[in-house]
Amino acid sequence: MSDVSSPQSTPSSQNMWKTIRAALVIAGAQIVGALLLTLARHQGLIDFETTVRGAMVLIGLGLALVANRIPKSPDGPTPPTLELAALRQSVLRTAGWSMMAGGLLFAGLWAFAPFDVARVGSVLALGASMVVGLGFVVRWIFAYHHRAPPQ
Amino acid sequence: MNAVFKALADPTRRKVLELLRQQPMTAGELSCHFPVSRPTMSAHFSVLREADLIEAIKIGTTITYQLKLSVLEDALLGFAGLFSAPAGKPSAEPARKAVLKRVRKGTAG
Repeated sequence: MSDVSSPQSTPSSQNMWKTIRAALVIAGAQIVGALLLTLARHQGLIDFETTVRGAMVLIGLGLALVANRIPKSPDGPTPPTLELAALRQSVLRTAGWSMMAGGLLFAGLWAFAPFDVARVGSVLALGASMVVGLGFVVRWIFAYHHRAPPQ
Repeated sequence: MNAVFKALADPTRRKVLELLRQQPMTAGELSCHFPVSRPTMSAHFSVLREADLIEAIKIGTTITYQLKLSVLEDALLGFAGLFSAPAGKPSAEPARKAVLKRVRKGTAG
């Protein structure tokens, strides 16, 4: 059982660096994508709306990619109790799924919906996913602090 | 990614992941659900750890397994469960009951 993590062990920091590296790669891809879209627009290959839509789709997909890794990156010290470990797992899974859905919906709306619908709908989709994720976190924190005392 | 597909290809390992979805569990608690020996279960846990789908954490003095699935891996697990046979459900239940009976009697190792 040499791979058992403890508060002092390194897997958590390895996770952190993996997350940072992945986020930097995604950010780089988004910047390069946006620059390419701008270049294409200056060349007259695409119009303004397509440029905006393309950049927004890249943002949505980037968010979905980051969200994909949320449940896989349980940073911080090991939970001291089984209850807390279960709590952390639930919160990370819910946050990951809701942010992933929000990101994909954001990208989907910017890719296929009419421009005005995409502008409002994408913000609503992202807002809803954040509310669901954060709401779940708050609900579980509340449940943890109001749990029955041990017998 | 090969390791992930290899890990998800086995119904026992999929069942382990489904159990861990409910909450983190110890190796003993997980083993109770399967009609296989402890070394076999250990091998399954190793494959899941190598695929980075679960991780072992130490809570107090107990080694506990918890899920480490990305959202896509979680979805893949769901799809794999949908399109394949259930993980030996008919035979798993009697074995689990037998182990639980032994535990209650205090004879389980």
